[in-house]
Amino acid sequence: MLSLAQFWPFVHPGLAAAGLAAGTVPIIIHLINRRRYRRVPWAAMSFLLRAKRRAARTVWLEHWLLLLLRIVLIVLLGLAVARPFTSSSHLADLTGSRGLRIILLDNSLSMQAVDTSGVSRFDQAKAYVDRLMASFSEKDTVSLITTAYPAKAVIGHPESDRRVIRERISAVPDTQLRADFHGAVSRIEDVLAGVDIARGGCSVHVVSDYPLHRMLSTQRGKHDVDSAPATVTTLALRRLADKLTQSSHELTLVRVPSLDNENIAVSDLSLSSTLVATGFPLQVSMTVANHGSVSVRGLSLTLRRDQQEVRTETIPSLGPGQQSEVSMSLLFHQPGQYMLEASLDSTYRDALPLDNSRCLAVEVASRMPVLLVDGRRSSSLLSGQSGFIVASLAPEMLYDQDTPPSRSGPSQQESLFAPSIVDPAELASEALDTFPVIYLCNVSRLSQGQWARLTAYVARGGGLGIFAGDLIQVENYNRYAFADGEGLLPGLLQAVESVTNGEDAWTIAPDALPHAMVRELMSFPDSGLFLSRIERYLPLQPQSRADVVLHLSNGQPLMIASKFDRGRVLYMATSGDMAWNNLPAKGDFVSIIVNSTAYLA
Amino acid sequence: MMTDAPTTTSTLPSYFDPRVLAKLHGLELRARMVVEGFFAGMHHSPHRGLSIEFADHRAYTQGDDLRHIDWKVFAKTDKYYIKEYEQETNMHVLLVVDCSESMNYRSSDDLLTKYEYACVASGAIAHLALRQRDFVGLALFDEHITEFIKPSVRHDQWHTLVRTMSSHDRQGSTSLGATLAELGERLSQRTLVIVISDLFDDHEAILKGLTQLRYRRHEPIVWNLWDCAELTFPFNGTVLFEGLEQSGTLVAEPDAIRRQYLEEVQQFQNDMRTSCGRQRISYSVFDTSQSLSVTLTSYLAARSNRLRQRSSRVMR
Repeated sequence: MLSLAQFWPFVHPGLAAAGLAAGTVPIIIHLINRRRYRRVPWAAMSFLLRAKRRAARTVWLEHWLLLLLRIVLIVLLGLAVARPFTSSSHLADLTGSRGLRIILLDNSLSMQAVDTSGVSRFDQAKAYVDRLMASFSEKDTVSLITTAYPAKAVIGHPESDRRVIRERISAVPDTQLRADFHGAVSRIEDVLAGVDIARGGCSVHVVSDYPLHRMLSTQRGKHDVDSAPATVTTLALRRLADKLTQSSHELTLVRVPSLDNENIAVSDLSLSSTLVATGFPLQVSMTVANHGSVSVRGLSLTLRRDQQEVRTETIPSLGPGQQSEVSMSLLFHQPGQYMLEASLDSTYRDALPLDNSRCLAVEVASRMPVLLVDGRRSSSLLSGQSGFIVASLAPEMLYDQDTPPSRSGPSQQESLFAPSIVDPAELASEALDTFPVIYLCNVSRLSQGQWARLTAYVARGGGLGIFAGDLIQVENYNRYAFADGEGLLPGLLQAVESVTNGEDAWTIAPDALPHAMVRELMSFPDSGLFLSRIERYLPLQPQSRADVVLHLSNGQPLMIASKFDRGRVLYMATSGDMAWNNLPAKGDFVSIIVNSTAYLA
Repeated sequence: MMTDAPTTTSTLPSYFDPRVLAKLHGLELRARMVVEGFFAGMHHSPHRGLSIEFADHRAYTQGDDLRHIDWKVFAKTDKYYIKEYEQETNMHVLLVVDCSESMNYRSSDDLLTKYEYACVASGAIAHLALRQRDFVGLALFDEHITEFIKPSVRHDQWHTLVRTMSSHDRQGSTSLGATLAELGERLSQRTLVIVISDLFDDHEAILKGLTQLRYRRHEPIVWNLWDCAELTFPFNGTVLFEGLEQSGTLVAEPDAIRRQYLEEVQQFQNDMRTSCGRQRISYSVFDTSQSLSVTLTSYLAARSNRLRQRSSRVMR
């Protein structure tokens, strides 16, 4: 079937037709001018007649050539304004070769926006894809990828059967998920890697409402870099564009138009802390963004907990492109699971009503269990390797020295955390998943099996903190915990460093870009954290994936945080007691331990 | 104390300027202004009575005044001859003015039409000639001679000529060749024939008429009148040219044919100049925006030339 795009390859076909019609303008002007003349009485008519006879041939030629030139110029101008295009599918038709067409269809939440006629962007996108299919050569193979998180290759292996392709396209659902362009680009790269592109070439058609073209424009230097930050989406798209350009393939970005672009969205709903427990006041932060082009006044934002209204705030004015952050305090009295919802006034209507509210599931605990594996457990709380950490997490335990905390249960004077102390040998019998956070405090060594359990625990989302100490066998940690970079330890352990006689102990250096865990402490350079003295430490050479939270004054990393699969790992290069440093004697130690536990949780 | 006295200057209008004359009404006034202006610029001659010009010799007969015997001839031939003298005013001048429709053309209201220009020039020349006691006549023609006034020195001759030119209607096409042939037959005296026309006629016919005049020992001179627009063709855009002598209409873009038109005009003038030169006929091109003093000067030069020729012929 010959499509309009094949027959009339213009981005704006109407303008192209108008351009052709404009070619008649010089003819009309010519005819009008012939009828609009000045009358002049003339005596020397015989000379004039002879002159006209002589010039007739030349004048005729110049006249018609000029007219033709004017017509051609106007038609060309009109056609240029209509933006003619050709695609490799057209060329493929000419050469008889077979090309690969990859369609990236955006089915994320924003595509559900509807215009005044009630047609959603997703429906428009599907209609466009349908027209696009008609413009492809019959020999072309087509691959289809959707962007809703996670991006999916609906047709991963290029398909040539038009009926199958159309069925798969029509079966693509609209979703309420975010767009995953990064994943989509990876799927495209997978498709490209799996096929041998024939002479017909390859073209990628991205159909979305997202202003992707701005990202590529930034690359060409047309926009300020700050206007399009190097997000994962931007980088992925640029990588794809570069790859296609280098291979002389095509990348077509089609932005689905919408007559109604007005949209107010609750763009963020988050808590001030990841630790949510009963009796602890919590700040709920909500962000409302205006993605439209007109200002909105008197916008009501309501926070609900399990559909019960907590509080309503009014945003006086929100201009185009602006966003407003509203913060509310919230207190949970009972542990359990709660649903928080931030929603705009129900009477407010825009193109995308789905993003007018945002929900957050919150699990509120009465106390957070923390497992501490003590390498040299003692009957006295503070004599053990984990005593100061336990005291920081649950200070009430210091009040009863005769009954040191054990896994028999927490003290009756409850705090937010419920620490449990075990020997390394007891670790094997613990159900690790019941503890959001586990600390290894100067644990000398673990068996391969124990390390494997811990690794699996962290990979599932658990948090593991490791405090150094004199008992640690470096070789055991490096072999099973680091495991040539594949393990959970964020670096290779080195030999212990100690201050020599006559030298001053090391201190903690204020860092210019502190980690979120210690950011608030960095604001007070005279606090106890920076007055502490570190006399020994077990250095770790961090991997690239690791973040250094604290540095020593000699530049060596002291505290290192790292993600491992779905969990987190924290390594403290010095001891958790007073053996190698006097940090536990400083008040900031409590903050560091609580923040570390919150980070790992 | 010296002060700068205010000075006033006044510029009199030049009555040779066609643009000035176009503002005057009446041919008589225009022609008189031209002649008065012409004489205002001349010096009075200190010599008087010298306007008598030697004409011929004849044999002495009884009763002749002895003062007129040419003693030099007697010394050579031993015979008495009487010198005959002829006054300059005895010259016959015929103004042949084209009054066809094409002479009605003028490109600007500031200018005279070609016919008006011809009439003012003719009136001025007639006035000048009659003051010098020349015989002056007039012939108006289009397709044929429409008015003919025999050369005369009568005291009302000038008024007659001016009235005739003023009252004549311009219509019809030019047929100069036939007109000149007819004039040659009508004129009995040897006459200075001044043809004032735009010459929009067949080139060969014109030459034939002039040749016949020469054959009858008249002395034609040709003044070819052109409007300045006819010499420069200053039009642009699309123009409908309406021919004045039923020569039809023509839609043209002057920019496209200007070069060819000017070449045609130049070719015609060159042909006329060459052909007249062969017949020893003076041919001059006048632009109606030019000063009329040029025409009077041209006339006086032709008159002087003719008198010189006559004198040399007698001396031979």
